[in-house]
Amino acid sequence: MTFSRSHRLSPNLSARLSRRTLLAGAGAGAAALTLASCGSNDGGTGAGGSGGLSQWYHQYGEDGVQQAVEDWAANYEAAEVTVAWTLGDYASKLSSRLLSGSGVDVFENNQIDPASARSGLYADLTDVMDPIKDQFSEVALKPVTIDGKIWGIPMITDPQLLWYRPSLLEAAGIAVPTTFEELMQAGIELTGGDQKGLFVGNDGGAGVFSQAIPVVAGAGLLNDDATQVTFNTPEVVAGFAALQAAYKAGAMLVGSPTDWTDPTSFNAGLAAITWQGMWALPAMVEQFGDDVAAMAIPPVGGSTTSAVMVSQWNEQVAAKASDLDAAKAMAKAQWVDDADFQKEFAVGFGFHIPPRTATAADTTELQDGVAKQVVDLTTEWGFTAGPFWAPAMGTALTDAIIRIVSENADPATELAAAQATAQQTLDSLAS
Amino acid sequence: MSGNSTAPRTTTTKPVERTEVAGAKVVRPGGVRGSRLAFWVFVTPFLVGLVLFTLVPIVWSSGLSFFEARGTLEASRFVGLDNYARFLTDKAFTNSLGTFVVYAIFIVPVTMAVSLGLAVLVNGLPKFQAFYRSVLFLPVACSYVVGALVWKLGLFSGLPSGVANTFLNTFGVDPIAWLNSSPYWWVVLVSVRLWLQVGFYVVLFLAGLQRIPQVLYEAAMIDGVSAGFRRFRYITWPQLRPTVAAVLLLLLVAAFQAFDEFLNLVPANPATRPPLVYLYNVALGAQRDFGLGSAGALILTALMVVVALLQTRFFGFSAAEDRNKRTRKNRSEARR
Amino acid sequence: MTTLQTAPRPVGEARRTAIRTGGNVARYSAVTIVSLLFLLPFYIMVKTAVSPAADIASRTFVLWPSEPDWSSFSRVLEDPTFLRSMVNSALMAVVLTGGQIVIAAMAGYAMARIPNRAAKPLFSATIVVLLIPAATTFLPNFLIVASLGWVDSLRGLIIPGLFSAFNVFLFRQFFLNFPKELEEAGRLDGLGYFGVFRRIVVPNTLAFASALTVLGFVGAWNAFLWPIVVAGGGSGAVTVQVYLSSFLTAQTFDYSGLFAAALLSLVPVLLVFLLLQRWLVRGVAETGMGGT
Repeated sequence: MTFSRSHRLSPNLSARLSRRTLLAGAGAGAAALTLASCGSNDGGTGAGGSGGLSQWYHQYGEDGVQQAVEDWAANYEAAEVTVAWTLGDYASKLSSRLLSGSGVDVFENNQIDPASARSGLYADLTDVMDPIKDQFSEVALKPVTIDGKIWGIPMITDPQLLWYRPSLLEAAGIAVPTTFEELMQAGIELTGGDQKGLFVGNDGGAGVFSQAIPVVAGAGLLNDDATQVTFNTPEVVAGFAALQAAYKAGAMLVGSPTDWTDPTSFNAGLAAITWQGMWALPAMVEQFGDDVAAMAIPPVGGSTTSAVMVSQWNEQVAAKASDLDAAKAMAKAQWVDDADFQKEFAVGFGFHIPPRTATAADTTELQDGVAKQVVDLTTEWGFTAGPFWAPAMGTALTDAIIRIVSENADPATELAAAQATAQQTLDSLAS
Repeated sequence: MSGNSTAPRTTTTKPVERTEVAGAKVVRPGGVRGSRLAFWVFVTPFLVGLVLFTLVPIVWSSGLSFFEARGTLEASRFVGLDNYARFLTDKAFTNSLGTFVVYAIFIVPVTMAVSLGLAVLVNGLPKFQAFYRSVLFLPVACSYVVGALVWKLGLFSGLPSGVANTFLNTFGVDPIAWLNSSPYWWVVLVSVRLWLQVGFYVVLFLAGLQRIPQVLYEAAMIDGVSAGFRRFRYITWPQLRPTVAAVLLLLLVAAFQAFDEFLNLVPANPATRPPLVYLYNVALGAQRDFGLGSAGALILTALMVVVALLQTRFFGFSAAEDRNKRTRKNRSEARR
Repeated sequence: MTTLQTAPRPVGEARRTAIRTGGNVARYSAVTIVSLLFLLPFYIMVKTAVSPAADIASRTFVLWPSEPDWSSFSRVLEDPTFLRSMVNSALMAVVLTGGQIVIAAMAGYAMARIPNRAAKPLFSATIVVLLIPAATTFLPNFLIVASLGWVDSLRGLIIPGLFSAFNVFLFRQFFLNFPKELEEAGRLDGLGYFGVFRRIVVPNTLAFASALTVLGFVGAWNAFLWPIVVAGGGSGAVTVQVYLSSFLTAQTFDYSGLFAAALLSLVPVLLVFLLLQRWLVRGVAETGMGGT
């Protein structure tokens, strides 16, 4: 390495250098200022401070939703609302923000959790909800009720269930399955050529059936007062064994670029029966017209319980919101008072069920065809795990099933291990 | 005056030069006062950052690990070693360590062999060395996210149209759902990291190879050992030992901290969940248990330090010690 | 005598040349095949970026679309979220890299060249920090950043990363080997520590600093763990990696647009990389990893 010998100083050079130093210093100062201002624009106060509210949404898959919510926010006169449309992992980003205490005032949430409620991150919305509590079904209130208080306003109900193409079943001479075992068998028989019988997720159904099978086996996930984990029963073991058999027989579509939440694979004819949420109904109907029907998850073994898994988005208010009253008022205006917007939001883009029974009955798009079938099934068999089914328990159970399905592990041992982990988590939550 | 470099520093011609040189700091060169100020001005930014963003967080996190902290950054209830016990007995944690071991067993030797092999290959090219080196080096500029995208959706997609499945198809093999079947997901995970890393280690090895004195090779030629395995084994490999040791340590540390490609390719799969992804899920994922996460972070850090120390003890890291050995060897060989 | 001696040599040499040529052919073939494999992913990206949507769901592999559709690039360039993420990435990479180098060079120089009792203990502290694997500190750092309210801001993205013990270590090594004569000459000219640093040391450190700059820039541009921990919600400090990654869990997405975005995200870092690659290779070689 050669070194320059440019250290001999002349008065001119030194003068130039001192000017350069000044500029460098100015540049450094400017950089620091930029950094500081960039930070405060994005972070800090979210909607710019004085009187503004920041409203968070996750990235809905359907077109037009973002526009609709931004329009509503623009038209809301009582406060200035900025919509934060969040990509990727919404739950963890939301929780990070709530923890740091600023920049989120009103937000949607499909995983209201007891720890956050008890440590005071959510605003108590019991007073907003009490007058209208009886307008919601029990299933709709379960996700938002913790310790007797209500922490959120239900926005949309998302039923998830099984969808199939009747023509394919007819062509193969298969009756619509009435038990889970029949369902798995149908999947095996419908596999041929480019088509697989079942598309229940790239993980072989571990995620979607982790809650469904315990429910339709009659065991449930937790007992009524959420102190015991109840999913480890022989019937549940049998259900997972049937799932494993179908996977081993090659009846499942796996390795699709998008997961089951995207109807593209089903629409391309890659699977005859699919797990899907109601949001995808328009896309499926557009592709197949009358040739798409829905069914609840049928019972396992001797059970008589079917299930439609329900997830729900709920509007909440951050306890640390800059203007708590304004935030609560806005949430109420949008999700309690504005019935028209709720209807439009529910069926204008994807398909969801408005959680208030009256509003749902009033929505014309849900009054016939497959949509009505789904609404009725949801009313009869809708199930949601509730806030005390912590994600850690869900992970333990899903992990167990992934091992059962793709690594051929023994269902009984895996389930026992999952139960132990889940119980441990539940116990630590209770205290 | 200025030409006498052995003159003691205090006898300078400072008074004359001070007026000439505008902007020069008026100070006694080597004087204690000037150096103290300069030292602290130079060091303070780093020091402040070190304290604020390394010391304080680690102390806080360590403290938090003894408390219950779910969904909140502040300690709520003292639980002693409870978090540690829960973390260590969690089957998912031990599985993640198992994942790391399996992963390291694949990635470390394979990367080492491939990079060394490619380095030797490139080094032996009479022309266009720089071009080939650049091509191999190019993927190092790509991110793991981009790599994961291409690997998951383009190369190893489970559909028949994926590159890997098309390749298999020419041999009549059925398409494989790579990311959903064991053990094929390892092929995806290892190959993406190979693509992204190998170029860097090739450069390291090339530098090491080019340091080997030609004299050794010429001496070997005279002894009848020409290019080939024997030359590699008796001359090249021993000379490369310090580079190999350094690369081994880097590879192990990188394997332990694997995160990006795992989170993007196989986020929900327990069989391919390395320690960091597990920690991320516990602390910042759905569970948001900061007390438990803090305990975990400490445990993982301790583990990594132990592994690093063990590795350097076994494989010897000191370049100086090897240099001495080599110099002695050179001398004895030259004498022959 | 001489005829007898020289006669066999041409044959032997010819054979050796033939072997060498054969060996070279083999070498070039091998390294070319490997190079093609290494370039394959780039080809896949370009091909997918210009494929129409129907091709992507096709059952068979398409070598090159019959009607390449280049509109995916313009689509992506019109997407404000993508543009913002690129700007964020650029800001982050530039400020982070520049800041890291300046702070570490100053600290490294001080520890190597400015006599002070605190130099040794400080350096030991730096070594200790080096032992701590960077990735496991994401949780403690998150605690600090969240409590400062810096989540989802560029400040939170950049500031914790400005203090690189690794760079300080390397700079100190470098400055220990820096020729003292230059500094002493400057000292005799009447410069103090600041002057010597600014006018003598810095100009002669540029090559080494360039190597670290390339590494730093690439690392900052491609960073994933910390950006996804700290930023990504709403209008916050989404970087281009977080943006790309979000499509892997999205419900549906625009394939060709995604790959066009991925290609565009490579442009800045490849540019920096190709331009400064030379320094990086030299720098890597000179950190002494080779052993001498």
